[in-house]
Amino acid sequence: MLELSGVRAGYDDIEVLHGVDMHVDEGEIVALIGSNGAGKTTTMRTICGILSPSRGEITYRGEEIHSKASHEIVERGIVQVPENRDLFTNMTVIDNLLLGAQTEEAKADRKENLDEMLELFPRLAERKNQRAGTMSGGEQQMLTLARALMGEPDLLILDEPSIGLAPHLVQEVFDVIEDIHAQGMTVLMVEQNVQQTLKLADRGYVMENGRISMTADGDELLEDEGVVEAYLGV
Amino acid sequence: MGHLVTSVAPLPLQGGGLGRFIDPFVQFLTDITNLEPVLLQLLAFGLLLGGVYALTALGLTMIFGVMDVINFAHGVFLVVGMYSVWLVSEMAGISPFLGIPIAAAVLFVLGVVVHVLTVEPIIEAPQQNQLIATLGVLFIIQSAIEIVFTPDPQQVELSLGSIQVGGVFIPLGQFYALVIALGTMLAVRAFLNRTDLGRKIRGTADNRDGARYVGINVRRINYLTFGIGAALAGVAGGSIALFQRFDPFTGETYLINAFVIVILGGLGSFPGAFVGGLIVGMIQVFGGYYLPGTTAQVLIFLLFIGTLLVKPEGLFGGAEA
Ligand SMILES: Nc1ncnc2c1ncn2[C@@H]1O[C@H](COP(=O)(O)OP(=O)(O)O)[C@@H](O)[C@H]1O
Ligand SMILES: [Mg+2]
Repeated sequence: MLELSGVRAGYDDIEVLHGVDMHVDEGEIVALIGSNGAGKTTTMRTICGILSPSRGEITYRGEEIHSKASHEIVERGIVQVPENRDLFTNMTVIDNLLLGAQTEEAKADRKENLDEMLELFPRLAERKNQRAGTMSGGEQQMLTLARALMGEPDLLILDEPSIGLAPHLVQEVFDVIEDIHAQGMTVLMVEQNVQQTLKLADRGYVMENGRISMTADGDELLEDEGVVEAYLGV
Repeated sequence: MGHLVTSVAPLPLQGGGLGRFIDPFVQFLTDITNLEPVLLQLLAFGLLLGGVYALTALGLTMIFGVMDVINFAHGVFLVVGMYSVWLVSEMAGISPFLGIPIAAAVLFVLGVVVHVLTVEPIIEAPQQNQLIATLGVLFIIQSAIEIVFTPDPQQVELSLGSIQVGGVFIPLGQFYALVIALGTMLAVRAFLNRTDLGRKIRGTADNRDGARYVGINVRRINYLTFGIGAALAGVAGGSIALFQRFDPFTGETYLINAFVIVILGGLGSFPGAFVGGLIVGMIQVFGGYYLPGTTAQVLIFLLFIGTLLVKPEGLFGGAEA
């Protein structure tokens, strides 16, 4: 479904990704783990067209997307929950959700999807006319997730969706991910909660210094000594 | 803009020295305590001018709010609006009131073209680059107008006269300009708050990356916003032409005041532009009446500098577009 080959990207003159190869198949949950600064967020931003690669190729359903603008990538069905959320903080919860629906299909289903999101995240329903920036971190994270779902993605990209959340909220986020995956959505996620993520994921990639250093099934990675030592704090 | 207050005989200049600056305030306070009718007249003039000022600032603040571009060409956009209305009424013989929507359409197209040619290629560059590019556009269009229409002042032939309301004298040209300004501001507000495109513009102003992540075509929003901002300048300029003579350089004074209003109200803030417009209009009218010479304009600049020093985010800073 999604394939990166030899992707190099970075900021201004600094190259952060030195040739990343990875792929996500239809219906999978794929995890990307790695220490801080490894280049995970840079990879996610490059997939969504926020950054453009200096070299290499990104294809989605067989079509090259690395030279496409971000809105063209969303049109093709890839939507991201970015690491720093990038909510519309001065706008209401409802406005944020409505802005999540940009493709023609998503716009057509906007009303039903909105109701569905408010049902799925009752706290958002309670605060629907509140400005997004005035909500708690957990509520903002839920809103970012709901906003992405309003876009009816085929491939949902999550960059540390549970960052900074209280344990019960982390669980809630993982429950939602499991739910939407069960409904057929493909998921690519970056997470610090390595154990929980690898349990959920079909496959995982480990990133080090802008390169993929290892890839295996989720379970295998959970049992790998190097991974356990580096990321599970044993 | 001194023309406004000439309809009320200005105070005779008092002697020299500091008294020149203190006496007016004494006079002002005396007038307030005596509830002099002139106050009501000045208030009316202040409102008439302030409303139009607010409209001149609206497009500027909108473009800044969405793409952080300080558009110096805004001043000459106002002038193109004035000349459009004049051309339509003088050459084609159409009512200048109908000229205003035509001016808006002309400016929308001009705004999009200017954006695509000069701002968009350097949208990711540091802010001063765009500022200089738009300043260049200002000079180019200004010179073009000067070459084609000469530097002589022009005037829309329109004898609307005036009305008296409770002893207050209201020139109808300015009154209609105020009505157009208020109507336009309400319409823009409704557009931004109630339509899908308006919501996308607000979203892009709020968080550009957020807009990209949800799939908004930010490039398209940029040029539409530039076009709408320029169209607003067209309406503002066209309204000003209903009551004032103008030449190719008239835009400069308005541009400066529009900057003051935008800073005063808070960059990107709509309510700020409205309140800022009224404040600057009032200072100009009251100052023009009570203070000697161009002291009012000096006061406006002091307010500008004071805002930057004390409350750089402006009265409504951080508010949504
Ligand atoms: N906006 C930026 N400008 C310059 N360098 C950046 C920027 N964002 C991230 N980097 C650098 O890129 C590297 C990878 O960062 P990132 O992709 O955020 O890592 P991760 O998400 O794996 O923690 C880091 O060295 C970081 O300092
Ligand atoms: Mg990261």
